[in-house]
Amino acid sequence: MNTERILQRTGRMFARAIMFAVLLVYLIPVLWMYSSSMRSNGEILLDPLGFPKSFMLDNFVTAWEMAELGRHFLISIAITSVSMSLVVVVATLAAYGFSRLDFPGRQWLFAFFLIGLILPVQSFLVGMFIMFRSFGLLNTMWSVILPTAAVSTPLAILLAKNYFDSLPHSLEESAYLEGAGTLAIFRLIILPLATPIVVTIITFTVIGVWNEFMIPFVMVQTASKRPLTTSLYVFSTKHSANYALKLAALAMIATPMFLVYLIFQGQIQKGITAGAIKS
Amino acid sequence: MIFPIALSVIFSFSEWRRFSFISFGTLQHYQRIFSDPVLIKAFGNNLIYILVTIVLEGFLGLILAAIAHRLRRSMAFRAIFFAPVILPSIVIGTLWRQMYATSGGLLNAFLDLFGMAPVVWLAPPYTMFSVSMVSGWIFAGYFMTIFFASMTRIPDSIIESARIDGAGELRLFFQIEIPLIKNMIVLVALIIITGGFKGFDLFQILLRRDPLQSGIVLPTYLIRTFFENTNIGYGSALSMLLTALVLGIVGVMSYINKHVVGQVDEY
Repeated sequence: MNTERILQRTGRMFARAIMFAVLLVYLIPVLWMYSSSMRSNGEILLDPLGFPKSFMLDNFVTAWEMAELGRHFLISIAITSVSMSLVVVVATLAAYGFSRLDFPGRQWLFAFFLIGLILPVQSFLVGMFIMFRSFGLLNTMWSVILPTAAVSTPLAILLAKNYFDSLPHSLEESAYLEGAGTLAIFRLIILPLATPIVVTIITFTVIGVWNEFMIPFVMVQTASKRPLTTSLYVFSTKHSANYALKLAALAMIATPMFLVYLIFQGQIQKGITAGAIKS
Repeated sequence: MIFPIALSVIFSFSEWRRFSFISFGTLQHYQRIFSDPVLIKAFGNNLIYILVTIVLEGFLGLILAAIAHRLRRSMAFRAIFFAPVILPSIVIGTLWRQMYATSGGLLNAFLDLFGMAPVVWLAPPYTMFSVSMVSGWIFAGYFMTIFFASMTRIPDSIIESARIDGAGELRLFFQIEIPLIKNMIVLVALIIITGGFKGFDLFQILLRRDPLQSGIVLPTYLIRTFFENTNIGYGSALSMLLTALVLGIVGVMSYINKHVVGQVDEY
């Protein structure tokens, strides 16, 4: 009994030691990013491990101006909000249709959307590029909004349909007897009930579109039209030797995201893992 | 979405000169797939990447989840390990590119502390390992969260009764936890393998143009064929190859899930 308890205690200590070691692996890069972003480039090159001597906050101002972060932040916000609204509207309406309306070919159409869950972006990227090119949509926000919305929609439809399937039909039936149309029922009864699933859809769409790299990398070549991700790519290529500047830009992009994560941590974890758990 | 896919299929059978369409009806792009040394190298690199990330993301995630499942308070650990997933790949990629830097980089500074010579991390023979490390850093916590969530769904009564029967922690792990979340393990394996064929961001961000092609993978090769060499026909054929690969893997894995692994009995 006694040896068992000792074994258990050492086991628990060992487990905790592993967790703390992994914790360091996660914290050190982030701490290094913040501390180096406040040092001069010369200091970093001389001694990468050192602490900031004078807290050069100018780095942030310089990086903000040189990378034109303000402008690209706004572009990213615009792209993300339009793409997210598209996904929410299209996916909830389509899911409601799949859940409640009986039309010929419903099973097939739904199966078709499910295939969209597993198709890689690359399968339609080339075709879409040529298509956008002939419509003159390349280098516009739409060339990022439409494909990113298309990527998020299948999962959104699946989650929303499962959710609608779990709602009882009785509410709609009584509204129907009172003479309400399908769209009115959807807007007045279903949508208010669907808030939790809509929040989940918004969460993974916003994070997915905000972070999207490959689609704007391919679609937007005009410097002033780039979203945050690809503009930062070009910026860090141009100033590849200036570590302090780059790390300051990174810190300014990461910090608001850390804050949002800190506040909505549970919701965000649920939103991002929704795809893996449900499919 | 169906229209651009159809276009890609047509393009892959067509001849092009830069962006102008010449004629439909050629198999040359598919013939080239079978005799392209760069493609073989890219495919090999993809396989290395998948193997390393299965260990770094899948195994590590599973072990961390099992540890967290045994700790009374693991909330803070889980929250921090999960955090990288929310950051854009450009932020993580650029940060790690700095850390890998030969001079002024964090990792070589650590090596220097122990009196070791600096390593050129983003060049052969380390290229694929270094890129996989970053992917592991991002996703180990993600898969840990997913495994942890399925482990907490195992009823306490099962675990208690196993403990009363004298099962140690290791036996608990191998004979209770793993069998009860086996379908989730297959799903995560599927995500890692298909993700390994789709991954583009980290390779592009960490390696940039990668002139030696030491870290070329299918997605980066595809984009370079298409945009830098404006070879639309071959680029489309490569994207079809990638699509077929991913769909094939999904098919095989769901077959394995259904017929080999089987469903977990209700508990």
